Amino acid sequence: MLSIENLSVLIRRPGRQVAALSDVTFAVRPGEVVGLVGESGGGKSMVARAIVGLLPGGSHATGRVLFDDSDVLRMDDEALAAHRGRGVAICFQNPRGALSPTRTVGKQLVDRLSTHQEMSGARAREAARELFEAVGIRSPQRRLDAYAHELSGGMAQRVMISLATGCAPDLLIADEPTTGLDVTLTREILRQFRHAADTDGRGVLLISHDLASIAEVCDRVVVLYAGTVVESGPAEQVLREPAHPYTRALLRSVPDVGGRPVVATPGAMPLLTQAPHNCPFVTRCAHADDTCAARRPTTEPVAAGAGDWSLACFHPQTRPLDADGSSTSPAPAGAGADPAEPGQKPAILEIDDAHVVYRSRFGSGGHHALRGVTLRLGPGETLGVVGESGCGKSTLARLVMGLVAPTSGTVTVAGQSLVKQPGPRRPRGQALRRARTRVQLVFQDPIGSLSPRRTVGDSIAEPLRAAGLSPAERTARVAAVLDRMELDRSILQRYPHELSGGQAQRIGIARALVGEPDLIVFDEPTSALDVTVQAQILAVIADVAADADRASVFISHDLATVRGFADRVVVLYLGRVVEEGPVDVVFDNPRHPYTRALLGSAPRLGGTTGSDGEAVELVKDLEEADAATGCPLAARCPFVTDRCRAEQQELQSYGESRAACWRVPELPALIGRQAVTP
Amino acid sequence: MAELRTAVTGDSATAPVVIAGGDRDSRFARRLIIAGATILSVIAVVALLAPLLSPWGETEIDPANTLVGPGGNHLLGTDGNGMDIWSRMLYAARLDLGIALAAVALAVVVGTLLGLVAGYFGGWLDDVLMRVVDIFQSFPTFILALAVAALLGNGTINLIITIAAVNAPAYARLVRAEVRSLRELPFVDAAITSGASSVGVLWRHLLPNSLTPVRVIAPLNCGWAMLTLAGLSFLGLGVSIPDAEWGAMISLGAADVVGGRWWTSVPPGLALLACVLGFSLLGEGLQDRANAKRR
Repeated sequence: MLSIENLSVLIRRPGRQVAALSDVTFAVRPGEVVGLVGESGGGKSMVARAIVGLLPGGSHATGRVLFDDSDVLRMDDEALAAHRGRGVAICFQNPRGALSPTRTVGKQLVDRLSTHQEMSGARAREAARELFEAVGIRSPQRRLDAYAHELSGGMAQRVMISLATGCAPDLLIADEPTTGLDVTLTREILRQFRHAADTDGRGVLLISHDLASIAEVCDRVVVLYAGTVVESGPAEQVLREPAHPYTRALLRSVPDVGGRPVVATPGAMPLLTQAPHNCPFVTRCAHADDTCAARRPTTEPVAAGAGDWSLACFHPQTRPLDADGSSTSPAPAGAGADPAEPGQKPAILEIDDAHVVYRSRFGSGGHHALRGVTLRLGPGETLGVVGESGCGKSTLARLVMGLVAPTSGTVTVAGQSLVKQPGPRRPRGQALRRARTRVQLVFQDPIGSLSPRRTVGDSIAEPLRAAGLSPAERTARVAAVLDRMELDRSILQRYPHELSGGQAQRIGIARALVGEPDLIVFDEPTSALDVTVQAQILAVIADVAADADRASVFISHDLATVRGFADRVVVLYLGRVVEEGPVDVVFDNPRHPYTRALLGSAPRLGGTTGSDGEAVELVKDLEEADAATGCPLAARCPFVTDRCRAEQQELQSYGESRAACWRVPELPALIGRQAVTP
Repeated sequence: MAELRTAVTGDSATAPVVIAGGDRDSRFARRLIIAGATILSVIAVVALLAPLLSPWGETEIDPANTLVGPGGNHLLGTDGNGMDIWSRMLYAARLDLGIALAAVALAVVVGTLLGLVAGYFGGWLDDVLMRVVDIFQSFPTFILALAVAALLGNGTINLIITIAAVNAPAYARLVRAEVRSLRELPFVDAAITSGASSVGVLWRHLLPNSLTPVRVIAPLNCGWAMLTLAGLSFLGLGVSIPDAEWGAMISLGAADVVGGRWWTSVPPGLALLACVLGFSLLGEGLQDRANAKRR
């Protein structure tokens, strides 16, 4: 159906030239889900743009993009209009941004149906309702009249899918459809695409940076690196025994909830100005030799009779993925350290029954972001905080940093109070500024956390200013921390927009470290980074978190990254701690239904997910839930009873961990029953 | 610029398909900036070299030749007092450019400070400052300028203050809005948690980052300032005779233009036009470039 042959795209703009794609060849057949994976800058979105005839200005394209035997690159406007919508439809990464904000989603869907399918108004509306139902939208009739901003992220992506499938396209393209969605939703959304392929025989092209998460629903995967296809083949084989060193690097960079160590690959993807004459991965590849640097490998089948599994490499790897690398990987930092015993040393961070309510500026309402969180963290300890978006993770970070005051309860860092609160007095002036530098934050957005018009050197030295160090001392300290981050001195004179994401995050960590604080809070430090860069940064963080005299808080929506180096973990749900305990205990033996659901949704290598058969499936999207009284999970929990709805749940000890659910002892039996009668 | 080609030959697979565009906006912006900067530099050079380029002094009177037409001893003729139009036009460029630039500079400094403080601290301070700004902005600019000028009286310094006063509120608003959105960005939190004082956050982080829109608006504003100055002078509230200023010259010659002696008002009018056009082109160009970068 779709066949891309030797597609090359060169983008020429005044002053720069980018070889976005070089000789890309692959096909999508009806009823097949093909995953297009690689890191940003690899050319994934450019492929999608070529397929829908939306190449950017200044593009010089060669090769062919054949769709039902006509070349999309050479279609006239009329043919393109018919091709888009009926032939190909696309789901964008940011569904709320891709939906028009001033028309109800129902109208937008009806518009499409009446334009492309020539349906009459009433019939189109009926069809729209059915489409909404098909993608799993509850009470579709009501949702038809909703505006984009009234929908949750997951709901908006479902609407997007219904828009895309509504015109019965032969090919459905999804550009990072689940990036930004929570783990419990990701699987559900991906299943919708599998469903579209299975029941309607559509071709689906699923674009993602995360091979492991989409592998489950893909028939075949195509791996892009620097605009070239390095490996393509059946998903199962590529995932289990990837033959190309880059595919292996991609997979090993992803942390796994099972605790498999991450192996970092040094370097970053090159930005090519012309089609490569050698292997583009040569500078980062452990197997590279002179041949790789001199010639570009051609795309060959991996082995005779290996189906359509092919790759472009002079040194195909044959061992299963788990076999190599484990010897070279550093041990998880948390595991090696002595288990810190809270109580013996003075606690660095103490949070006592803290509530945070964000008052709405108009009216009397407010958003209750944290509902009674109690935490204690000693030196050398690393605490992992996990939960989905909206659970209060970032509020917790801001609370610890003194950027938001608790509405009730207290927070102290190293015995000092950073905010106005009842009880401990807050220092003033210079003393407050010094107290602030004792706790440092590493931000989610590495480039945004650096002042755009100040040099990198200036940003790193910021905490030292407050400490009142002389310029000479500042220079020396900055140089030392730069060495630890393995950054070159020349970077000090640069500005944030000149940095890559990985460099910027190293700078962010350097700034956090330079004042030797007592506590560092990492707020989703790797979620904005590419997979192989993420692995590099995780290695840096693991090293930093292992410092004995310092405590760390690592906040993430991704359970697997937390497992790497946390000693203890807390699971947050709608502002409450629902489970807490040593990291291995919580991950291997989760107690709370929510923790079980989270772990069950997390992707694992090999295509299987979670602890099989024991996964809990939550019944609704997060934003449909209401946590006014009783257990916060009551609206979504499959094991809910009247007691759950009525009674506030407190943390109770179950073995080494604590969970806020009274039904924990009964759960294994209940889950077993659920598996039998779905 | 490359054309969108729809290849129809049998050999289509080898011919590259070229998509046009991608750089038009930034090139157009560059041309605007060059045009505006050229006009303004010519005027600035002329203003600086006025004593060398003008055959007569700024206020020198040739009593024998009042209201003579262009040519002869007087390149563009003389006005009713016998002063040389060409020479006065050149000298006027100094005063016009000087007052406009000084007034806009003052407006930028005052407005930016107010905006920074109001935007960063918020609360009652913000409310008070912004209500004052509201009061200023609730009058039509020129009417307000008339009122302030009448209140302060004549004089170069007073004119600068007047024009700055009517323009500063716009900068205060602009910078305040910018600061309020910047304040939500992580780098401000990063500065605070790194122990920076309020002054440090404002001065070293928010100020440099909030000036981007100011840089775009200020050149446009210079054009408006110049028009305000000329308007005030035309109405007798600005620069007064015998000092050379375009608006005052136009005003002085207005009666004579009716009598067919166009040279008294038209040349200073054209000079004013060129100058305002220069600032507009420069401002538009900078704005387009900023927009192109943002995309």
